[in-house]
Amino acid sequence: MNLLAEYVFNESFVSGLALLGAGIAMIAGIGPGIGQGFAAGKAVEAVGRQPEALGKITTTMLVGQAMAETTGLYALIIAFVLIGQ
Amino acid sequence: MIDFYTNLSPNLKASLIITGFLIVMFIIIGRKIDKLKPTDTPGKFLFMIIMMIEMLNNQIKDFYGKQWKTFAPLLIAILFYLAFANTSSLVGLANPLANVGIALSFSVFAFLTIQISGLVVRKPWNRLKDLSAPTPLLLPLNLISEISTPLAMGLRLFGNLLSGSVMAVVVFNLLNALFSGLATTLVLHPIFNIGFGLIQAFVFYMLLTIFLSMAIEEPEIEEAS
Repeated sequence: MNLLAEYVFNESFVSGLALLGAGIAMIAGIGPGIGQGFAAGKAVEAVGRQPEALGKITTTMLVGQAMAETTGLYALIIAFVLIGQ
Repeated sequence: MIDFYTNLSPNLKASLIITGFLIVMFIIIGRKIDKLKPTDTPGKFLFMIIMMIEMLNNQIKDFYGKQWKTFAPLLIAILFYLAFANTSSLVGLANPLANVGIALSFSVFAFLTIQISGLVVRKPWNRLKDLSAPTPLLLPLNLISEISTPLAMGLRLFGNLLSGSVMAVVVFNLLNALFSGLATTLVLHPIFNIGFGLIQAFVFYMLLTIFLSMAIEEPEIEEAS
């Protein structure tokens, strides 16, 4: 019992688990990757259908991509907070 | 007094410098435009500024209709401040929005703007009826979305710029061993500062415009078909 309190439950254990949690939190980077790639594919298809509307399609696509990036950024902020622990 | 100024964090000092610069610049440009007579042709710089503000005004008129003159100065000021703040790494200042206090204060500001405008333009009883639009059972969910949407807008700005600063340091240290310093900054600054920074400023401006116009619009009368 004393060994447990001395070698396992101390501060570097907590810090190590926090860093492990920060690594697991970044698995949430898959979602925006798939979603934004899909949106870019649809935008390219729309440009192929009507090449004159390139400016408006690009603006709309960029706004949509910035919105879809938000959940990936939440995961990044949590990872930063956990690294600082 | 000097002690107070030098003990602030570098992001806050950069924010004060950018605000002062923008105030002086817009006062000078405003006086020059006031003095133009309608038959003069303005110079190149003034002409560019007039065209840009005309374009933004037309876009705001599309969203708001009659009351665009009340809200257009606020939105254009936010757009210019964010555009200058996100590209301030190019002149050597720290990025003001990489500080969590400044970025979250933008979200507090957006929340207060939307709520106060909604309560003043549509009277409080109509606002309550707007929030319980399809059924009154959705009232808690609508209230939660009123809080969480400005919070998401502020956190989006903060996360993008903080990660931009961190990645800039990491990529610089990585590429500095291979290429010289000039080549690495030629890669970093266009992507992180000019690319992501200006896009995020424009996204914040568009989102604030859209949510503010949704909060003050009159509901359309449905035609009985």
